[in-house]
Amino acid sequence: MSSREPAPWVTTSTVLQRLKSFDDQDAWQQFVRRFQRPIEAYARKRGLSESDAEDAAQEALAAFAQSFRDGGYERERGRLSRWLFGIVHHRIEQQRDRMARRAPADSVAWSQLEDQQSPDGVWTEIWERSMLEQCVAAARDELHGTTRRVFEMLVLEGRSVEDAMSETGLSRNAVYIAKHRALTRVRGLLADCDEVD
Amino acid sequence: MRRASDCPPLEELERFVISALDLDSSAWIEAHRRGCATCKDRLAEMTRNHALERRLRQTFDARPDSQRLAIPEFRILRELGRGGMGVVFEAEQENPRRRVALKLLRCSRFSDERSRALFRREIEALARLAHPCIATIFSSGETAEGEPYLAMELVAGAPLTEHVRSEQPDLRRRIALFARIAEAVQHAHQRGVIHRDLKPSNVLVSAGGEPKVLDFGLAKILDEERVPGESQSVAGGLRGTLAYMSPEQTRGDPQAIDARTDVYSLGVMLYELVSGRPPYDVAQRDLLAAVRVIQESEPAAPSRFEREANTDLDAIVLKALAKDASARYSSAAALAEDLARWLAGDIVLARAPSGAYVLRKLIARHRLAFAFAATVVAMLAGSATWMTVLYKRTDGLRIDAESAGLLATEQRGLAEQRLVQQQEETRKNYWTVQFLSYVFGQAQLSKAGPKTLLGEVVVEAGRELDRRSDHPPAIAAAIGLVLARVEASLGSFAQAETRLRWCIAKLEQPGRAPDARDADFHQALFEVLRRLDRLDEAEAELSRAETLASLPSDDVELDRTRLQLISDRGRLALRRGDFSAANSALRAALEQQQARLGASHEDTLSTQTQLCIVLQDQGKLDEAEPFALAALEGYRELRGPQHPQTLNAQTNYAMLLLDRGRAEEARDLLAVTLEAQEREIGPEAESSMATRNNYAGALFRLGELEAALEAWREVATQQERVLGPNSLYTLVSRRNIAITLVRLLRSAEAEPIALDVVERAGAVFSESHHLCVRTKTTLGRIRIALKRYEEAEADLLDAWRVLESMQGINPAWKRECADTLAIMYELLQRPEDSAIWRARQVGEARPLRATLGRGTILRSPQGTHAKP
Ligand SMILES: [Zn+2]
Repeated sequence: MSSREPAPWVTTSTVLQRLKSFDDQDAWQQFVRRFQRPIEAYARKRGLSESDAEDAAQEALAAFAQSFRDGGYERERGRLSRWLFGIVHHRIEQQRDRMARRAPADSVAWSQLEDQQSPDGVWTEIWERSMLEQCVAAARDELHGTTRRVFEMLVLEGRSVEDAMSETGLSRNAVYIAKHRALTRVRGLLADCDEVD
Repeated sequence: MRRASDCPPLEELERFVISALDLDSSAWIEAHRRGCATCKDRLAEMTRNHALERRLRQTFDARPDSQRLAIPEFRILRELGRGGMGVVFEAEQENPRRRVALKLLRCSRFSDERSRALFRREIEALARLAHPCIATIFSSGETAEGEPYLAMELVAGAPLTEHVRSEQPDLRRRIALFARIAEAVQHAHQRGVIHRDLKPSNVLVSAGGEPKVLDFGLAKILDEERVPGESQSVAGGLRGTLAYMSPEQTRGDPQAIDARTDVYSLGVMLYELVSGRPPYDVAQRDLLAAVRVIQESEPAAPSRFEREANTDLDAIVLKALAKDASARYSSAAALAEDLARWLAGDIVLARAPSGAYVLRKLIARHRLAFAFAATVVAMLAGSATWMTVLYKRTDGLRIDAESAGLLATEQRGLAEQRLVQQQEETRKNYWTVQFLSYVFGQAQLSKAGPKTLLGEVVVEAGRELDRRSDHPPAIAAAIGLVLARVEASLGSFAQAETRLRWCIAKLEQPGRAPDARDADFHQALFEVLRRLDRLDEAEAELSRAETLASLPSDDVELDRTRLQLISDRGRLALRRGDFSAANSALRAALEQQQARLGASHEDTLSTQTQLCIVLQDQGKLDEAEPFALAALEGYRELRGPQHPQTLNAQTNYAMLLLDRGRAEEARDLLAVTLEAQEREIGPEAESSMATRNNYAGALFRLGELEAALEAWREVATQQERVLGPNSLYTLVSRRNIAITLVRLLRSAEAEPIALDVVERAGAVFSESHHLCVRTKTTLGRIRIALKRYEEAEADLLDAWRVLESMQGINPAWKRECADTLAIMYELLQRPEDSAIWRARQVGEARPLRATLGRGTILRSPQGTHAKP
């Protein structure tokens, strides 16, 4: 869970539009903050060292930004995550080829289920988790008082409706309303991460 | 009665969404929704929110699984165990009320179809089985989070090893317990289920002493469809726990897995139960060494460690553990029955091996010796006959004791008898010889063991040939050709060269017109020279062979030679590093060979292999893959899985995997290949050394640099001794050593090696050979690391000039050079120059730090073709 300081959510579309003006450092920071971590996590999963993963993420984002400025990304061509994946995967495989650093494998038991996931599946999993984390963090920052607490208790802590009622003093129906309001907001943020107008 | 206009509370709507309402309430909400836009929207919204809520829970819920998981009908009580593929809980089922073991596949909703397919297979396997010693499956399904689970009989007991340790049953009780396990395995086999992962931890023994076999997670079901991806993986064998794996499992051949594989694993368990120790100590070894132990070493008799055991019991245990599946008990039942006989004091069947088995074993042990004796006799007899066909001297057949004098006395009768037969018969012999020279050519006999015997025979035959100066020259030459091919196959290239030149001199005596079949001599000499990396001389011989082969002839075999010569052009170009030329020559040869000889002909397969290597060197992996697979499949079909050429194709396929970044698979495949090569052709055969070099490459790619360095040092020393210091392969290995040293930050040690490789490669091949150029790039990197920038700049610019003029090479080679230059200028704080070099990297974003190009990795050479 992110513990970053509250910052207002800027839509991905806005970030990317601002990125088109070359010197918008702030937009670049926003952009990097949003997408660097999943790329790094993916790179680490593909066997890169921490610093190589960092480099790979920087390179991929730079390549992405460049290509976005050049008009290479069109909404019709699919979701942002897929498009980014194309660039990221390419960069990382190159890096992997060069660096070829991986932890030695276990030499005794060879389980069937390990290492069978496709790069694509790994990426999707990491991407979705990272976006979930960021959106949940952003939603918590936005929500206030009892709504926020209900969201935390019911969804993040797995507590019961009754617990939430007694802690917040809300009615049963109000607890449900608060929960769904929070969930709807998270959904909106999630959609924004991956869809660019 | 509720009024239709009353909107239900949100809680009820949510329970409707998650299908937790009774039928009446559901029907009511269904009806209400049709008339109420508000609730309709709410329901749509809540359905989407519910999906998100599930994901959030899965991602963030920190509670243990036992609290988090909600499986209808089951209440989770505690976790029993957890492994790579799943978690097992103890749970209480509602109806019927009972305790169960609940096994859950730990997969997110993203995990691929394969894991699920395997889990489904375990469910299917268990559903087929009903035996008191196999845990019964009760039900299966999916959790609310979409994770598949299965509920099975909860076995309260201790793992086999623990049970034996705590209960200390005597030997007879241990054997009786084991016999029950074998019966359970037999039950599974009868229903088409092979367990494939039998080991003591997969057997629980209840308090009542009843064993239960568990965990069919790796089971193979004989009549079912394959799990996707399973058999496509060539390397795919190494599953299960190494210590209990059969030799055929470690060889990774899925076709070889049958009931006897489980018999072997049972044998390991039995060995442990009898002697209290495993038959082999594989825990402390690396994978390759462990595999070798399993495939080669004979375990000590268990009776050495257990007083109560006797030689009969030893025989039973060792029969179950036989390396060769056909020497094991044919079923788990047969093993159980023999154990029952032992318990009853009867004569055990293990003590009475069949005559066929003994004979087979004898032949296996002396296989090479038998083969040599047979082939040497037949070859020397046959080659003279063959020449009579070749030189159309079938009239008269005046080949008497003089030409047969070459043969040992006891073979003379045979030779003479053959030589006087009619033309039809000699034709038949011709084919025999073709076959035999194939045997010698393909066997790639190593420098060890019975090979020495063969070498002596050849030397002796050669001496005899020299002594008999009155021998008809054509026949002497033909025999010489066979001998030279044997010598080449033994790696004695220098002798082979001398012999071939002597043969050619014989043929070129005045008064004899050149014959199209003389091409064979020049082709053989070409091959020898190519192997010696004397490429200009080799090319001259190839040209001569081409000229001769174009002479008119009605010999049908000549067609094959002509096609081979096209292919040889490609091989020569490849050795020279001219990939474009190699590519087009090999494609041309392949096309014709496929059309005229067929897709599965050995020449076609060989050309295919070469083409695959060229494409890999050009970085065209997608194009290379079908050729690699076709060659591998073709050789497997044509020659069988353990044949030297099949093993070469296997090495080549592994290299493709490596280039594709599938380094672990590649390493495993190389390990089993190397193991087989060392057994079949010896450790010093060219192919074995190539595979060892490649194995080091896989280690390198996996980041095990020290191990890679050691392996390369070992193989380079060996290559230097066997192939000489100027061989392409020796130099490649040494370049790899230099690269590894750089990566280990030992550039000062790397420098003299890289320098020497550059000099030798330049002198032996040319300044523009890829090995020379790429090593120059390496040298540049080394000198950058040593901060000697001026020298580095000279090396790199030099390398770049050559690279730029080269056609059809792997673009990565240019990239590694340009990369290095860019980095160097950056270090020299000359950003403009750096930018220029970065710009040369087409379509590349800027790399942030110096990285090292991967080592050149050697492919397996193809065996010399011994064609008549
Ligand atoms: Zn309503």
